[in-house]
Amino acid sequence: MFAVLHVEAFALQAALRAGPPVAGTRPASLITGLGRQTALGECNRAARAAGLSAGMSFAQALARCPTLLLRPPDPAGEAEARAVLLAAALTLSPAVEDTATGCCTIDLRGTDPAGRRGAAEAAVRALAATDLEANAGAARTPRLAAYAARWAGQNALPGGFLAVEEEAALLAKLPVDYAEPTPAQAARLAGWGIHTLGELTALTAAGLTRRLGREGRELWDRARGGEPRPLRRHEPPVGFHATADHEAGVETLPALLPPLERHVERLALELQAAGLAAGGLELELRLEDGPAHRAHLRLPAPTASAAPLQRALETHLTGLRTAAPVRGWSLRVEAVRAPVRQQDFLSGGLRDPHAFTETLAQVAALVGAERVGTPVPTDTHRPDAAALSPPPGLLEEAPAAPGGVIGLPLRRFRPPLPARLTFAPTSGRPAHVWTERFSGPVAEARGPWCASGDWWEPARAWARVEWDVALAGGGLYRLLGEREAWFVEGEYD
Amino acid sequence: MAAYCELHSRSAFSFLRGASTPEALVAEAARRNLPALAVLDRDNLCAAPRVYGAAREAGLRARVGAEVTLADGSVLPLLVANRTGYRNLCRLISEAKLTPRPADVTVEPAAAATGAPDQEDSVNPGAPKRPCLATWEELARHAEGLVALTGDAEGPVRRAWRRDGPVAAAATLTRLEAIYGQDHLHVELQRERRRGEDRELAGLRDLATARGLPILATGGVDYATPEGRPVADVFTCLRHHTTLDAAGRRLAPNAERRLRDGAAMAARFADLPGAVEAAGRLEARLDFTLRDLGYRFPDFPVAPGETMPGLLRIRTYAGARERYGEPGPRVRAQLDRELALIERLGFCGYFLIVWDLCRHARAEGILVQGRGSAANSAVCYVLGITAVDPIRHGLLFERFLSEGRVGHDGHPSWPDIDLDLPSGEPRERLIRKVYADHAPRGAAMTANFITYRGRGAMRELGKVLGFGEDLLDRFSALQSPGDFPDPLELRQRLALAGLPPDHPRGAALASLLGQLRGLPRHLGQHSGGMVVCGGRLDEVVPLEPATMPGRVIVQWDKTSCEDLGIVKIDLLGLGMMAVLQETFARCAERGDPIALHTLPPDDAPTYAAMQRADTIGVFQIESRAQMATLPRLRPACLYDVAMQVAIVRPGPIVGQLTHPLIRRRNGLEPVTYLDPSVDDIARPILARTLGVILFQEQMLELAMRLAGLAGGEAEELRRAMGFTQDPARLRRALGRLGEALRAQGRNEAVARRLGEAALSFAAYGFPESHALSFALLAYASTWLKVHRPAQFTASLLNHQPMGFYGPATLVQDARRHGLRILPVCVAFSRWECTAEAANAVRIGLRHVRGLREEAARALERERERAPFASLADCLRRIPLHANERRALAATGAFHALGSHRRAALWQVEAAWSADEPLLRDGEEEPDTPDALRPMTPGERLAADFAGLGLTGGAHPLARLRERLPDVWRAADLPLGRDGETVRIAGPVICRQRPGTAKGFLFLSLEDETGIANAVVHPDLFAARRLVITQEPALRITGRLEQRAGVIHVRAEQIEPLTLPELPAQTAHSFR
Repeated sequence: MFAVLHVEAFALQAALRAGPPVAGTRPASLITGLGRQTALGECNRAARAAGLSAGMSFAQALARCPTLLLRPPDPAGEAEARAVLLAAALTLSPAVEDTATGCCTIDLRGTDPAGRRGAAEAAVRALAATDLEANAGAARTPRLAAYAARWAGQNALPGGFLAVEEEAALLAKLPVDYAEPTPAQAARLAGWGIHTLGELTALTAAGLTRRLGREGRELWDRARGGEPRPLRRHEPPVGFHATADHEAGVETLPALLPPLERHVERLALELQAAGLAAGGLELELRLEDGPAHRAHLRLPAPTASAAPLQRALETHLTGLRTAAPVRGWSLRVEAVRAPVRQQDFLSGGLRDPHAFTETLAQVAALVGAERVGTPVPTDTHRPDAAALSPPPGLLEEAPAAPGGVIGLPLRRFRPPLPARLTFAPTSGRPAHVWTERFSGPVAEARGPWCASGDWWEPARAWARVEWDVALAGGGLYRLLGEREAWFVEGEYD
Repeated sequence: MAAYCELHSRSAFSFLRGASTPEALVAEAARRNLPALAVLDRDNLCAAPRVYGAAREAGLRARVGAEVTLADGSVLPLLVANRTGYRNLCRLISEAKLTPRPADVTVEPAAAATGAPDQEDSVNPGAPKRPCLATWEELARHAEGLVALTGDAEGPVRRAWRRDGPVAAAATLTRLEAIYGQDHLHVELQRERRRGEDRELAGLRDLATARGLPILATGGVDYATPEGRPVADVFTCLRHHTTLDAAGRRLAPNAERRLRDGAAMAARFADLPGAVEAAGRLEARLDFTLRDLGYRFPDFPVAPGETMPGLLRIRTYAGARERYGEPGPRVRAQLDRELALIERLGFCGYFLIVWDLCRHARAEGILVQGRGSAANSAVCYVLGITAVDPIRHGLLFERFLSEGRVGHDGHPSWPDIDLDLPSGEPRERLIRKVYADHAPRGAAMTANFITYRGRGAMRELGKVLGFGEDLLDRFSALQSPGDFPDPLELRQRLALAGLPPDHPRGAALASLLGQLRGLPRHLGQHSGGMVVCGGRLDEVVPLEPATMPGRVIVQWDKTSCEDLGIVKIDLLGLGMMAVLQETFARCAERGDPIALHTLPPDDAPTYAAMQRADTIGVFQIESRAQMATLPRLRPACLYDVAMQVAIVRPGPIVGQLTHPLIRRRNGLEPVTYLDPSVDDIARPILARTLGVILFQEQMLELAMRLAGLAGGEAEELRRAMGFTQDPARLRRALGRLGEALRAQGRNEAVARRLGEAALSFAAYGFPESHALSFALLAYASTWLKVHRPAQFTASLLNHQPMGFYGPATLVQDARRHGLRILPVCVAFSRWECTAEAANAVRIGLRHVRGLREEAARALERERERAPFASLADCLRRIPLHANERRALAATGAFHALGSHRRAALWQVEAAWSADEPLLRDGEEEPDTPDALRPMTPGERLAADFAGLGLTGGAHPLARLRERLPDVWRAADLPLGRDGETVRIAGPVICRQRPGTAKGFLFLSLEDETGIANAVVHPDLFAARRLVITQEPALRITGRLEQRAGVIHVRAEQIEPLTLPELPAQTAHSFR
C-alpha cells in the first residue's frame, strides 16, 4: 500500500508562502516566460474560478480579474516547500520518495493500517499549518495513490484524503491529463474525444501503440494506474538547518521574522519525523557590510514545536540592532533527544556584534554607506570622475592604473578656490581673476573647453567650462566654471 | 568679405547620427542669418529636396552634398559645385550602394569622433545595414564638379593622423589632392571645445599651408540647437547597441555640434580668420541647386515616320470608338482640347507609356483601373487607363492637367496617374515590366521614410535609458490603440506600467519621446510608386537596393519626387481588384461574361442594398462608419456613392461637414454656399455637394476664385495640404490664403471657413475623381454581391485577409443572404473557394490551416484522375504531412469518404506513410473503436473554428442563445425603443477608435442574426480598457439609440462574455 502527498500548483503555493501573507481566496498566478513571452503560469483555485488559465496573457488576465496577484517563480521558496513536504511525508513512514514537484510517495508497508487515515490527515493538517495546501491519497500502486490525492484535492474531499477501493470506478471518471500525456498525445486524445482515463483504457493497447508508438503504450499503462514498484528512497537531511538570501537587504529585523518562521515550521516537522527536539538555535545574519552577526539562542527546554522556536527568534531579533541591512541568514538547530540540561538563567539574550562590523558600520554611518569602498575611474568625459567599488580581495589583482594624461602637471586646490572673473567684452575671454589667495589680470587665456554629461538623470547631470590662464603677475592656472560659479581648480607646474 | 555659410551639417537623414529635421536646420540657419546651408547627409541625398524647399521658403540658398563612406571606413564630405558634380555625386552614391561589397569598416566612427584613441581599433558595431563603401578609384572617376572637404574626425586625413601620425595624414592629403586638385579640396577645421583639439588643428593648418591648400571652418553640425544633443546621444547608443549609462566616451562630450552664426564662428576661429571667410568664398563658387535637376520623362518609342502626338491621337480615337461608338461632336471637342494641351505640355510620351502599361496588363489578364485625378481626363478614359466616363459625370479636365500647374520654383506639376491592380503576383509582374522597359537604371521605386513613432520609439528609448524589458512590455500592453491620442498622459501611462512618478529618468524619457517622434529611422520602399526617367535615373537621384531582392529605390519619397517634378506612376495593389477579377473569371466560366465597364449602371437593387447598409464585404463602404452613414445619405447614383466614399474621411469629419451634407440632402437644413457675399462664385463650384466643400478640387477652385490664387500658388496649397511632415508649410500656405482672401475683399467668415476646410483636408484630401474611381469599385462590388453572390463570396474568401471583416463574418453574412455554405471536402473542394451553384459556395482547401497549396493541388489532380475509393485510398495516393492529414480529418474534409471526424482522426493516426509496409500490403484498420463517438455539433463547431477559422454552419451563438436569455439579438434591436436599456453580446469583430471621434470607441459584436454596434464613452473605455481590448467576446449593456435607421447601443456596462464553447474569432481592431 502506498500513500501520496500532493500539493496542487506547487510552484505557485511555494512562491506565495515565501512572500507576504495573502488571503487564500485571492486569485493568484505564477508568471512564466521572459520578455514578450511572459504569460500566466499555474493559477490557484480562485484564479481559475475567475476564468483564468495557464498561458493567458497578463493583459487578458487583468481584464478578467483586476485583483489578480502575480508572482514570479521563487526557486528558493520551492526548495523550502519541497523540504517541508518531505518532512511531512517522513512523519508517515521513513520510506519516502521525492517523486515529482509537489508530490511525495510513501511506502506504507509496516505501518498500522488502522492509523493510516489519521496519520495522513495529520500530515495534511501540518502542511496546511505551514500554508501548503496538500492532499493525500492511498492505493495499491504509487500512481493510483497520486491520482487519488489529486482527485481528493479537486473535489475537496473531507480531510483532504482518499483511499482507493474501487479502482475501475475511480479511473472511469478521472480526467485524462492525470496520466500525464505529452502535449502531442493530449492533442491526439482530444481529437478522438478521449476525456477520461476510462475512455482511454477502453481503446485497445495495440491500436494506441500503432498510433502513438511505445510512448502510447506507456500512457495506456499509466491510465490503468500502473503497478507497485520500489521507491527511490529520500534520505532525510543530515542536521537541521535552513538558510536564505535576500536580494534586497532587509532593513528592519522584524521583517526577517516571517521567512524565518516559515523555515522553523519545516525544521520542526523534520525534528518530529526524526523523533528529536531542538535544544538551541544557531542564528547567523549575513549583513550587507562586514561579517555576519552570529548568535546562539538557548531554549528554556528542548522542543519539537514550531511556536517556542519562533518565539525565541522573535525575542532575539526584537532586541537586536545591526549596523547594516541583512543580506541573508542561516539557522541551525541543535538537535537533542530529551531535556539534556537545566535552563541557564544567567545566559544573556544578546551578544555584541563583531567588532569589525561595528567599526565599519560606524564609519559608514559617519560618511554614508555609499562613500565606503575603493575609488575606480569611470568611463566618462567628466574629468576626475570615479566610482566606489568594494576593496579587492587579498589575492585579486589590483585594477590597472588609468591611462597617462598628456599635459603639464596640475597641482590641485582641494577644494577648488572660489574665484571672481571678469571677461573681455569683445572676445569673451577671462580678463581678470580674483581669489582669496591671489588675483591679477590675465595675460593669456586658452579655452573654453566645455564638457557635460549624464543629462538623462537630473541629480547626476553635470556641465563644466574650463579655461587655462596665465596671469600677468605669473602663474598658470586652470579655471573651472560650474553651476554658475567660478573656481580655480589648480595651478600648472 | 563673403558672409559665413555652414557647409557641413547633417540632418536626421544621416540615420542614427543627425538629430534635427531638414526643416529645423533650415529654420535655425535662417534665424541666425546664414545666407546658405549645405546639408551633407551620410551616403544619401534623402533630405536634399526638403532642405531645398524649406530654404526656398526661408530665403536662403540650399547647397547640395553628401558624406560618402569609403571602403576603408573613413568618411569624405563632398559638395556639389555644378550640375556635372551633382550627376557625379548621384552616380557615386548609387554605384557604391548597388555594388555588393563586404563591410570591412574597421574604425569605430563615434569613438574616433570623440577622440578616444583607445577604442579606434574596435570593429564598427554601427556599420550600416546597407553600407555605401566607395573606393578611391570610384572617387576619382566621379570627381568632376565636386569639392571635397577633408572632413571631421572620421575624415580620411584626421583619421590617418590619429592612427599613424602626421606623415600618414600628409600622404592621405596627397591622395585627395591628386583626385580633386588644389581648387577643389579644402582642409576642414572644426572646434568642438574639447581640451586637446588645438594640437590637431594646428597640425592640419600647417599641413594646408605647406601644400598651399585653403583651410575651411565648419561646424560639423549634428543638430540645429543644443536641445538636439540628447537625441544625438540616444542615436549614438542605438548605433552601438548600448545604453546611455554604458556608452561612456562614445557619447558626445558636449553640445557644441550645433549651428552658429558668422560672428560666433569668427570668434571661435579668431586665430584663423581666413578659415571662416573661406566658407563664404567657397559657397559663392557652388553653382547648383535642385532647380537644375535635369530630369526628363522618357519618350515612348514610335515607328519611323511616326510622332508621339500622332500616335497618341490615333490611339485616343481608336479607344473612343470602342468606348462611345463613333464619337459625337461633344466627345471629339473634348478629346481634341485635351490632346492639344497634352501635346503643348509635352506629356504625350507619359500618356503613351501609361496606356502601354494598361494594354500590357489587359493582355496578361490583369484587371487595371486608373484612379486619382486622371479620372477627369477623357483621353485617359478612352485609352482604357480609367474606367469612369468624365464627360458623362461632368468632371473637369483642368483639375487633372492645366498650364498653370507649376510649383513655386517653376518645376512642372506632372499629372498624377495611379493604377489600381489586383494585389499580389499580377502587380509584381507589372512592376517587373516597368523595370525591364527602363533597364538598367531608368526606373526605381520611390522610397518611404520610416519614422520613429509610438511603441517602437518608446521601446528603443526605454532600452537606451536603461528601463527593463518588463516595464517596456507592460507599457506597450497598456498603450491605447487606435488613431486617437491616448486619454492618459504619458507620465500616467508610465506610472500604470510600474514606473514611479518621481523616477529620475521619467522626465528625460517623456522629453526624448517628443523629440524623437517623427524623425526618420530608416529608408523603406513605397508600396507602389515607381519613378521612370529618360536617360539615367541615377544621375538625377541616388539609387540604392531595397530590402526586397532585385528591387531598387530612389532616395526620395513621393512628396519629394512630386516637389521636384519627377513623374511617379503608382502601381497600387488592391485586394478588391483581385476579387473583381476573379469574380468576373468565375462568371465567365459559368457562361456569364461580365466586366467592370459592362456592369449595368444605376441598378436599383444595388442602391437599395447600399441604402440599407447591406454592404459587408464590398469595397470602401463596408466599414462600421460607412454603414452608419449609408442609411442617412441613401446613395441613389454613382455620384452619391462618390460622396459617400468621401464623406467618411477624417478630413471632412474634422471640418464638421458630414452632418450638414446629410441634413441638406434630407431637407433638414437650407442649402447655402459658404457665405451670401460669395454665393455667385461658390454656387457653381459647390452645387453638386449642396454647398458643402467635400472634395479637394472644390477647395482649390474656391481658393483660386475667391482668393485670386495663381496656378502656382494653388499648386503649392495643394502640396502643402498633402505634406504632413512639415506642418509649418501648411501654416504658411494657409497664411497666404488668408491674406489673399482679405486682399480680395472677402469677409472674415469666408476666410475662416475656407481656412478650416483646408486644414481639415490636409493629408486626407479626397479628390472628386478619386472618389468616383473608388465609387465605381464600390458599385461594382455591391452589384456582384447582390446579383452574383456565390461567385463574389467565393472570390472574397479567396483573397483574405482584406477589407474589414474576417472570413467567419463573411460566411455568416452570406448565409443570411441565403447562400449555402458547403463544407470543405477532399472529394469536391478545390484549393480556392468555388461557387458550386448560383446559391452555393464550397469552402476551399486554402482555409484548412496548415495545409500546403502543393498538397491540395496534388489532391485535386489525383481526384480528377480517379475518385477516391476510401479514406485509405485517399491517404495512399496523396503525399500529405501528418499535420495535414489531421487538419483535414478534424475539419470533416474526409466525411465524403465515409468516416465521421473522430473515426477519420483515428485512422489517419495509424502509420500511413509511403514507406509503411502495412500500408503497401493493403492492410486496413479494423473498425473504429466504440470509445470514439462522433463529434457533437458543439465539438464540430469548435473543430471548424480551430481548423478553418470559420464555420459553414450556424453562428456559434445560435447554439448558446438559450444561455443568454436577457441578451437582445442584433436583428431584434430595431424593435426596441429609442433610449431603452438593452444588452447585446457576442464575439467582437471590430474595435475602432478613429482619430476624429474625440476618444469614443466603436465596438461591433456579431451574433447569429447580424452585427450589433456599440459606442463607448472615453471614460468608460479608460475604465474598462483591458476588458475591451483583450476579451474576444463581450456582453454590453446600454441604451439603445435609433437615428434615421442607424442603431447603436450607448454602452454603460461592459463585461467579458466567457462561454467556453464560444470560439475566438479574429477581429478588425484599431486599424
